[in-house]
Amino acid sequence: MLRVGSVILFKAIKEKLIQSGLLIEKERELRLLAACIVARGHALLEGVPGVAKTTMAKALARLLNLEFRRIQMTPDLLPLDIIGFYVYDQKTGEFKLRKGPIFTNILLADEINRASPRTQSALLEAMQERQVTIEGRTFKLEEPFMVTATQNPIEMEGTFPLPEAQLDRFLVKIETGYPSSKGFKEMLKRIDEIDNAVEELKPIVTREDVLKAVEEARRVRVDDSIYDYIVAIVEESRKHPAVKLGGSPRAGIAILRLARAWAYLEGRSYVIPDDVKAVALPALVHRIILKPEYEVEGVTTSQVVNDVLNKVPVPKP
Amino acid sequence: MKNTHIISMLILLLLALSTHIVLAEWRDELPVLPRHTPGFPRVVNNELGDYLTELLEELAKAQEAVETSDSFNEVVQDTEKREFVTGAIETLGNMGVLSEDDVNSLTSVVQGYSDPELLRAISDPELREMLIELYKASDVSPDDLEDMYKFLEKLRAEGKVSSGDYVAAMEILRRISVRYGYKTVYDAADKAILDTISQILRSEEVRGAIRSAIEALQEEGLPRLLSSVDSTSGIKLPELGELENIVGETKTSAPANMPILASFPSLPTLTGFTDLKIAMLIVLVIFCVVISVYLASRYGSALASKLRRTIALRGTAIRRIELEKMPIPVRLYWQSVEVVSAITHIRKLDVQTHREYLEKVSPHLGELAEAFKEVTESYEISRFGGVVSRDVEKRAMMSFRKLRGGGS
Repeated sequence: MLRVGSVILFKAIKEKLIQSGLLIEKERELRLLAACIVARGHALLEGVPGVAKTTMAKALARLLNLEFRRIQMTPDLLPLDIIGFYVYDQKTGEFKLRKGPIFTNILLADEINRASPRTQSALLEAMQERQVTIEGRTFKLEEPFMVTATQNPIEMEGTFPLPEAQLDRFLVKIETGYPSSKGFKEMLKRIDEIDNAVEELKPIVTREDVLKAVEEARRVRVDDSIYDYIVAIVEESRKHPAVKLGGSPRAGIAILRLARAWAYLEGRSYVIPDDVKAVALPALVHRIILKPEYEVEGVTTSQVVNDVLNKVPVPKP
Repeated sequence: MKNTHIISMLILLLLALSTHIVLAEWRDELPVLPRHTPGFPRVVNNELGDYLTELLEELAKAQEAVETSDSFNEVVQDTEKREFVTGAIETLGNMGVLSEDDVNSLTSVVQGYSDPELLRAISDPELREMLIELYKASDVSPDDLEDMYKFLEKLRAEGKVSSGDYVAAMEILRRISVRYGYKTVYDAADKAILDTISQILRSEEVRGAIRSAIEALQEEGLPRLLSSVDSTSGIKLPELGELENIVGETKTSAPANMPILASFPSLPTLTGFTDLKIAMLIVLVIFCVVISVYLASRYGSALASKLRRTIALRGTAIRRIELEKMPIPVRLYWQSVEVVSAITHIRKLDVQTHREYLEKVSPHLGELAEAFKEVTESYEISRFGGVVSRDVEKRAMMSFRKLRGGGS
């Protein structure tokens, strides 16, 4: 079993959050976020306000002993508000660098689609390059670095929807919804504890452990038949009748990386078809463009991915 | 009960097949029953009708292509027109209206083959020699070309040259005229080619061939055929009265907007059912159904069970060949899947992973669930983890034995 320190990473995260009463029906979302860090990707969380998107990202950062920052994206936000800028120091007579909130480990870009396309581009460029350039000087961002952007699927007024090319930069799109009635009741009962619990969470691993996990996840074994399976899924996504633009090779890479991380978080040193199935939906759902006639009929990209998974045979024997 | 249904369905299917075979053997002897609901207009739906419709459309398109062109050069330059005309020439060749040589020559001209190819396509050796000489000559005057043009016209008028050779010769003449810039001869040759192709497409031979095809449709093709002819305005076919003379009195019904409506729509007759053989066949079918229902209810489940086992064994044999190269835990897993699916009646789907299958069958396996879980885990480690150790093999073997009921 692969371990970080003395624990299986995700099992430890989960146990800690259950103990503190923070984990209520968001296990899948939390695991995807953790997998995203291990796979060196970025996550787009889509959900209505008040479904614990911020709490989840914050709790994960605390448990992994990582620095967490949050930016509230607004239309008047400028790129330099994110990446930083030089200010003139009258005492020394020199320009001093004031680093922006991007210099962190986990950055929560709340309501990313409210920022102007220019600001979005600056952020997405930093996500891709893992570095920022301020006044001609390039600064490497500290690893691990993950952007968790959120967007509200309902409110569209006053927003700048992310183009497909930029959506492709996110390794996963996690669609998060309301808890069940039971979960909701549970949450209400524990609301006072939850408020303090996030602040009181103690790290279970060090930053170095997380970096080690990133390295180890790369060495997770992938059988040849698993590669075939991923290829078949991505190719099948292009053949679906409702699809205008299917999965790109980058989508296949995303599935592979996430599947490795998914297996690693479970303490396995090899990928199984279940890992691929588990990550295919969040890895593909934002990369598929539907034909308008199917879109108006109410077909969703999630349905398409599920159709694909129900059609492609798993490796045999 | 479920098996009884399956067996009944199978027997009915076999009966339906055997009835079909018997009917196929009797086809020539059985009276022809009308195929449509009473009053429903008959349409041509046999291959001959479709073929004829396509033929008429093809010829109409070719004629339109030729007649809407001011010059033959226009036909050659326009890909669509060129294809229509070439297609029509080939079809006329297939129908026997044009000889093989004519088809070759005409196709070479319309498709714009090279000069040597065109010269080779001329079947008359003397004419070919003359044209080669003219083609090779270093200095050709307008008079020479005019003489050749007149000569070709004369041959054509006297019927001493085939259509294909005439058109090919005119095309050579046209090309030589271009070389020397003699517009008068060029225009005359161009017009001669266009007119000749048009004449071929409207010739009496073509009409005769179409009439023959119509005669073949005498029994049930007329209404739609005429409708097709009407839509293909370019084709001049025999007039309606003339057609009726050819095919005899029409017996079929047709919608009001059809060109002809000889009488009220005819109703299908039921005279065929009076035939003794049909009656016997119906009695036989009823008898077989009664017998098969009785047999299915009595022996259905035993037969279905045997059938299923045979199919399963056949599948197993094929899979065993595939599995021979795999590690022992992988082989044991697939054998376990067969055992489990036989116990639970839940088949492992191709899109189902080993874990999904385990989750689905576990509630139905009772005490054996743990053994199958062990086999599945061993399979996973060997198959995807690449670990083939003695321990894993031993664990898989023990669990498989438990599953099979052989004890450890």
